[in-house]
Amino acid sequence: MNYLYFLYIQFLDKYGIPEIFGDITFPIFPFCIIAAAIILVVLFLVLFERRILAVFTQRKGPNRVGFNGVLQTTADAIKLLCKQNINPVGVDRFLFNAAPILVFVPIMVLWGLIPYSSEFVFMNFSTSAILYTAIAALPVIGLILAGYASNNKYSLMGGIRAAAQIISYELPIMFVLLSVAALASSVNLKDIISAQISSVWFIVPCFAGFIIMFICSIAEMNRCPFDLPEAESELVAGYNVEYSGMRFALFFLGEYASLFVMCAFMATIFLGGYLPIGNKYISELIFGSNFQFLQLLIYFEQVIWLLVKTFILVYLVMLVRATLPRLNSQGLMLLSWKFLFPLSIVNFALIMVIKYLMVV
Amino acid sequence: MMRDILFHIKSLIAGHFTVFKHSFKPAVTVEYPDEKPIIPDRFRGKHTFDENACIGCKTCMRVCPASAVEIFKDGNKKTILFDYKKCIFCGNCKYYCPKSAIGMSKQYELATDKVEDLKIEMGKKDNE
Amino acid sequence: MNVIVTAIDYFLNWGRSNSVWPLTFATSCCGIEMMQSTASNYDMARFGSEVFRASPRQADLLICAGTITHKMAPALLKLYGQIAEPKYVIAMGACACGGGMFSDSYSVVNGIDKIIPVDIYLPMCPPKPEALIDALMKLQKNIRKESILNRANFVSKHTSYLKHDGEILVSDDDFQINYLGVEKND
Repeated sequence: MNYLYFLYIQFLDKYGIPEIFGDITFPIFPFCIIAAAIILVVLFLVLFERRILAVFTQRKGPNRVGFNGVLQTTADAIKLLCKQNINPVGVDRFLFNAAPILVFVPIMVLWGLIPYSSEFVFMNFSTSAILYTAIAALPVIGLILAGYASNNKYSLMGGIRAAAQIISYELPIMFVLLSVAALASSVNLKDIISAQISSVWFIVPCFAGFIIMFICSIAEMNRCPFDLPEAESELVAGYNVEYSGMRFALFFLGEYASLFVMCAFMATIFLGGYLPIGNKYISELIFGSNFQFLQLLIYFEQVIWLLVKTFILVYLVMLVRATLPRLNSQGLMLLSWKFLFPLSIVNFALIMVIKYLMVV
Repeated sequence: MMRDILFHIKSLIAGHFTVFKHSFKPAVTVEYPDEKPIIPDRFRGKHTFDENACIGCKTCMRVCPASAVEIFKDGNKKTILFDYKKCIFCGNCKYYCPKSAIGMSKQYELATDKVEDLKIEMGKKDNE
Repeated sequence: MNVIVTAIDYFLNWGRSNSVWPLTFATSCCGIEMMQSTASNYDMARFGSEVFRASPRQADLLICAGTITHKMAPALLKLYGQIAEPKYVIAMGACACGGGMFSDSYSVVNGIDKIIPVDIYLPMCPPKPEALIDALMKLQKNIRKESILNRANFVSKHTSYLKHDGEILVSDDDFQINYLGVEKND
């Protein structure tokens, strides 16, 4: 990212534009990159999920549109874009229109916090891991507003359920994150990754933490089996009952974007992020260590390693969705407060003991 | 308590493994428009009518539970009118026909976008 | 000009016809066949239609699977009105097409085309899942023939039944639907 910034400033300097202008306008580039990446990844993810669910149930899945069904989600996107936008009677117009954006924007910010390779970090804060969990809880405001503004009792129930769910599943995530931060002695995501170069990946000392984080992430993404806010059999479609067309597509986009970014976050803190297996880059093995563009190749390889790890986790999330039925609302609370929360504290204490022994 | 938790974890793992195993099995889907499914011999699809065999006894009209069949007899000319808005494909008309003039084919693709197509008249053309 | 319209038509119709999301609406036994058609053997997902939306706002297609009684008629009308434009209707089964074997009954609407416009009629009692897929393909074929120039025509055709005369939403020889429910004519 610094390299891109340097190029941009140099380019402006050639035409005599002052540097301050470059500083202000530079964030447009990461924004455009993320916006394009979200749309591409979500189009792929939706298709991936539909094909994977079909494979689990011995079906074929979408295979008619384009070559073997690759354009299915593009067709869906075109249709949703051109569908009528209904403003039902009695909705709070402003909040009704703002809610999908409030859901989508925080998730877009989350995409900027993930280090995709050692140089390719859009926003590198010293407390990025903490910031991540803080922003990951923000979309629920949009969900509550969507429920409130829709003038529909099912929507309101869905929004309230989403809020209750987020509150009870934030705490275990925080404790797991604390234990990881203790292992890495840092709350910066890049530092957490570089701490995993010298030692093992943190999934080994913190396996219980990984399981807790996995379950809680599914709950935070509102996916099966924790999709109580949009439970079809109880609440019609939950908070997005009254939404149609493009605004519904934004909810859809946000859901799958958060699926990807949550899995990328888990891959970063537990599976070594962009690190290759055994700390040996394949491009280094192929081209030798004296190759001219080796560093550039390694950056691309790091992105691919992160994508591979992320998609393994995405596959696991979809496996869980294909297997388990929906929990009831009471069971959801019990699982968090009686099982995951105590377990995360025990895990935290254990990690502290391990850390103490390692230091001594 | 502890045994309960262990049991739940065991069943969770077993469940996920079962689903995972299924991802290696081939799909059972019949690619419908390209490969037609096997229709059993006694399937009751669209009707056929043999106007030469029909004697115009109107038994079919009497046994039809939905009153969907109508026979028009004009001298030697017999036509039959099936109203697919009402017909429930029970096969009574075929079963009770003394001369086996009514039959049932295996055709089931009856979807149409015009409501007039649901009234099917048979045995008219050949007699003229 | 014509070329641009044709290109936009092709683009839109391609998107619309390939992602027809049905509404979960089953009133009787045809619903079982509708469920089957998304199951492994028949798999409507191949055409991109396995996304059954529970909320009518997000659905495109109303598969009316089963008998519509006079008591259910206002609900059907309301659901149809809630579907966002463009919307399509498949009348599945003899009951939805024209009352079926209950057509003489005091409580059954003789065909949903008395209440809402129907795009595809699918007789038989109940139709095979393959027949439903065939109906869906015929609907897709019809969607591909649409044009944005005829859009107003399409919209008026698909909303005319909802225009109400005073209190009465739908008026027929046998019954009237108003905001309070159904009244039978004598």
